[in-house]
Amino acid sequence: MGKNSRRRARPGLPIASTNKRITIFFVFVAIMISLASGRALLLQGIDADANAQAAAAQLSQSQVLKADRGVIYDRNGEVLAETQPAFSVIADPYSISSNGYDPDHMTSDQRAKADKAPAAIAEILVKYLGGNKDDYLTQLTDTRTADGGPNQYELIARKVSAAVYQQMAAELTAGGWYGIYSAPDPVRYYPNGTLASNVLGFVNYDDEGAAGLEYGQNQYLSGTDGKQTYQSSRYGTIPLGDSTLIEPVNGATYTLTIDSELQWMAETSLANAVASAQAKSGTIVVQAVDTGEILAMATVPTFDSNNPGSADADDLGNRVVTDAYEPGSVQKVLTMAALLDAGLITPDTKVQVPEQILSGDAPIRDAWSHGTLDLTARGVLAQSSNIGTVELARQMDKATLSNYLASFGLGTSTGIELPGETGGALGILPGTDMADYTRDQISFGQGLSVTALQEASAISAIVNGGVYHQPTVIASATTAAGDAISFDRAEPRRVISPEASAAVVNMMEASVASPEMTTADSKTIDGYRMAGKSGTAQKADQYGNYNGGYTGSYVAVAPAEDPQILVYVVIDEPVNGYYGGTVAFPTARQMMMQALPRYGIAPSTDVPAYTDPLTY
Amino acid sequence: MSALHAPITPGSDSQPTVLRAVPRQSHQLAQLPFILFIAVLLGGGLTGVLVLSTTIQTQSGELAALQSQEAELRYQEAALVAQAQDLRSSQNLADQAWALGMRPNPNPAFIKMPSGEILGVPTEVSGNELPGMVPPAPVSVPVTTPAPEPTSTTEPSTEPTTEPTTTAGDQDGTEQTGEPANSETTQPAGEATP
Repeated sequence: MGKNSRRRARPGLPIASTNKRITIFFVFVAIMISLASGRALLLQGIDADANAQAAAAQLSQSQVLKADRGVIYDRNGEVLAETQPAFSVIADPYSISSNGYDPDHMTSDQRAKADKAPAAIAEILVKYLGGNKDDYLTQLTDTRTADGGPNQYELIARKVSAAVYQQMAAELTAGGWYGIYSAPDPVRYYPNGTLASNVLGFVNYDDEGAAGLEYGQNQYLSGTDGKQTYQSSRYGTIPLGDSTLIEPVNGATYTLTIDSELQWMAETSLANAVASAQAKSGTIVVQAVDTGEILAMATVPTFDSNNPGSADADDLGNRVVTDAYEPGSVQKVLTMAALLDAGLITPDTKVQVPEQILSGDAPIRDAWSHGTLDLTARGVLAQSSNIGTVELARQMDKATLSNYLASFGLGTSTGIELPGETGGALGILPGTDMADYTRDQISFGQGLSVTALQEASAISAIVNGGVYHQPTVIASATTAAGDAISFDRAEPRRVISPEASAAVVNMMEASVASPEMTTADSKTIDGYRMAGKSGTAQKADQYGNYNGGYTGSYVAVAPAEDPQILVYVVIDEPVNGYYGGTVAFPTARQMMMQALPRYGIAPSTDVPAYTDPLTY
Repeated sequence: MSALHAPITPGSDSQPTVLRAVPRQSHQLAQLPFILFIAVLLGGGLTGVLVLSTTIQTQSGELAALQSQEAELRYQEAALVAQAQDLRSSQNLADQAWALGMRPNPNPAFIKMPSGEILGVPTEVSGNELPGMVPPAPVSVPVTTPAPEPTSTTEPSTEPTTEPTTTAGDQDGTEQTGEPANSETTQPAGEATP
């Protein structure tokens, strides 16, 4: 009975029957399915895009892949500039304060270690990066930003060599120290330091060209950064997750016409010349006359491309290209070339040179006192007579003279691939309507201004059979894809006849080789025939008076029978001596002595005694 | 062959047809292999996926380790290349050559091939033919890339001998620019005076 009554009681429960249980179960499942479907509809149907993007953004990471700046080589394949892997070192002071542990759940050991972290990390930083431990400590313990949030970014150092960073990171890891990380920050490196720095220039802290070739060719040298996107979770990169990779395109590779060893010789001898003359500055150009290629181009004082900040701002440029000055007597070569080409004179034209000559309302004199001299045009150039040159130049009308000088490249950009050839750096060439006294002055190198590169290229053209080649420092450049970069270069052009060219070289050789010459620069090179011309110009001061010191210069070409190499040296404001033949000639001659055999130019088979007359 | 086409046999109608229930076939035996088959399939599939994902994860780890090793070696290589370039730079070579007592010889001699004709006069240098080429006092080049010290223990022991000044002074006496001191007084080379 009792049993029956219990059995009777059970049907009273709502889920006692199987059917009800099934019903309840299905209702429950239906509710769950409805909820899930609703949620799915919400996610997939209504906010689908926003949700997908949010999810992807949470997973995907991207990083910039820095392109390497192009390498610059000299003509022999020696590296002049390259990019080295390096890093910015960044600290996360907030994480350092707990040494990477969760600050709310730290054991006492972890707390003790975290307390030591800033000092320990600072010591490791000092060991690898130099600097002061206290300075680092200040940065490492600055755990809050200005607005009170956690400070997770403190820039500790930039441009740290990758190898050094690696060792530092290894030591930090070994010590169990957390909170120092890195960001790629490649460094431009110039293995030769000061060598050719005036040509190469330098880059700023953001790896952009700031001077010289680095600046002028920045668009090709810099390359294009790439980008990597990948998906990652808290356990690292998701192996089969979405990832895209845009490879960086490295900068173009440049090969210069500069010969780094000759450049070293040029810089060394120029530095010695400037020091010996106690001069303000100096420039030197060594050029291949038959191509216009610059083999060496130096200025003193100079700077280290690795560390331009430590040099005087005035020394960070390239004086060869940007400094215009009055060339002095070297300019007589250009005057004679014009007169010879126009057929107005020959090297043997007789010139009676008086004691002085009136130009405008002032007399022009020579550098040495003399009575009336009977010189040939050759003698006028060799002995560097201002009066004789003026007398000869007066045979040519002013417009023609100005046009000749313009055709030699004076007053305009040479087109070299270096920045700075603008404004005052183009020099001043008096126009065709110049005054008579201006014509007189420019014939011997005053009243006009030139850059060393303009003057060197003009004389290269004159001695090169009369064909002008645009000067160049870039032999070739190729993009990372292997395509050659073309440069807009002027075609070679004839500026004087081959006969006039040969006559000029003959006249220039006289100053070095004629037995009638007794000056310090009448000194040949054993085995070779050299031709040359000195220049000594008084500099105008700020009021236009010629008492601003001197510019001593010398141009040498060799071998005279077929000129191949030109060396032009300019010494600015020398104190110990000032004649071009004294302050600049020794350097020009010694450079020529080294350059000739260096380029396989064999000694002249016959070096005849120079017998052409300087007087009549 | 279809039953429709089967010949009608006379007399068959006379036999009464007895309908019987088709005997129930037992599925007990057929179900077991099927379940086993499904279980094996599922198990195999799951194991495969597990193995595959584990392999991928492992390989991903290996890849990361190798990439990091590659970067490490690349950095070391870059550091060593920079060190080599430093040592072979024209400036360093010239300084070291000078310190070793080597001097430029401005008297070249050429042998013309195949005739063997000699151009120029081979001449021994005395050391002061080119007084302008005395290297200036070496300035230690401050490099923003700190001298890398790769982990390799075989560090090149050839420390650059940056002591050319003393040698230079000994070798070259006092002359710096190679012109006689009195040259200025003996020559009136072209001065341009207005």
